[in-house]
Amino acid sequence: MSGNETKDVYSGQFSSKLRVELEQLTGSINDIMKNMRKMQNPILESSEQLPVANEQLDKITAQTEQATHKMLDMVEQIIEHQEQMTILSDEFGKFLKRSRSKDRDVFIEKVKRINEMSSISQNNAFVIMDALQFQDITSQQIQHASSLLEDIGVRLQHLLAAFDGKELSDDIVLAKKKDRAYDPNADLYDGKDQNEVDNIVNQVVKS
Amino acid sequence: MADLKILAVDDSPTMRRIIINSLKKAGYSDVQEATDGKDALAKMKVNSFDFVITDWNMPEMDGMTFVTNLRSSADHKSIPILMVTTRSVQDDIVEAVKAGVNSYIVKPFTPDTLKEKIEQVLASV
Repeated sequence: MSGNETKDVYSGQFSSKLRVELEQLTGSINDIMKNMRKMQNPILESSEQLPVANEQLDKITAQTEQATHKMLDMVEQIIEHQEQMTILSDEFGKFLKRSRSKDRDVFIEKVKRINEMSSISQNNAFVIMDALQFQDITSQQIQHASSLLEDIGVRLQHLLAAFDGKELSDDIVLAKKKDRAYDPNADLYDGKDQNEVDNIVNQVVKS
Repeated sequence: MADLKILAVDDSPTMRRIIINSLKKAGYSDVQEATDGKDALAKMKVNSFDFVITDWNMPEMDGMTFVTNLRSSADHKSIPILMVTTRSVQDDIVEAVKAGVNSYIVKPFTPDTLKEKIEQVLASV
């Protein structure tokens, strides 16, 4: 066998091996494409569900805010009524001081007790009001969750566009994101103690 | 104390209401509200205020941009500013004070803390 004939034999063997490899590769790519097409529908469905989830979260924020404001209405009424009660009992106390009744001192003590109880109720109303700050903090946590869902939605849209061999423009991506203002670390219980905050402020002011 | 004109800036209607009620309890009843920095600047153009209480995270114009705006304006460069926010990271507090905030409160707060900080700021300016 001449040198050229030997080359042809090796070349023929190589091309048939290459052909087999390429056929296997094509098969694998086709399988991947089939699987990707199978994935396309669930991704599309998920991407369509995300705005619904976001709407639900926005609804939670809105309804919690409504309920909080109803509670604030009541708390404000309690505070106002307590203020009026204090004014009235003060007037009554002044009247008693001018009275010559033998039970005068007993009633003056009772009026004092009413004022003390009224003051405690008013402070309790403010404690309820303080607790209602939860609504602002949890709404920021919900905003953060909504923003993360929007990010996932945008990534899914990119993936779906890639399936169709397209690229998503920045305008479309930005249009899908709402302008949300929130602190991603907002927390009702894990915030810094006010003394720690004051120390930091004082250090910066001194420096 | 009763004559102090305060502007309370917060995008949360709940927080604005709580701040206004806490201020009333502390004896400050002349309070106006704004929903963000942009709204606050517009209100400060037509009204004069003695004290500003502002949140940080707000749409349109956030608290830091608002504070920077005030500190660079001739009319408001020395107005006392108290920041009331959920942001409690040390770097944030440092950044706010460097930008010109006089004092800083982390939410949730009590009316007593709010009163104490206002008094401290007023005594220091």
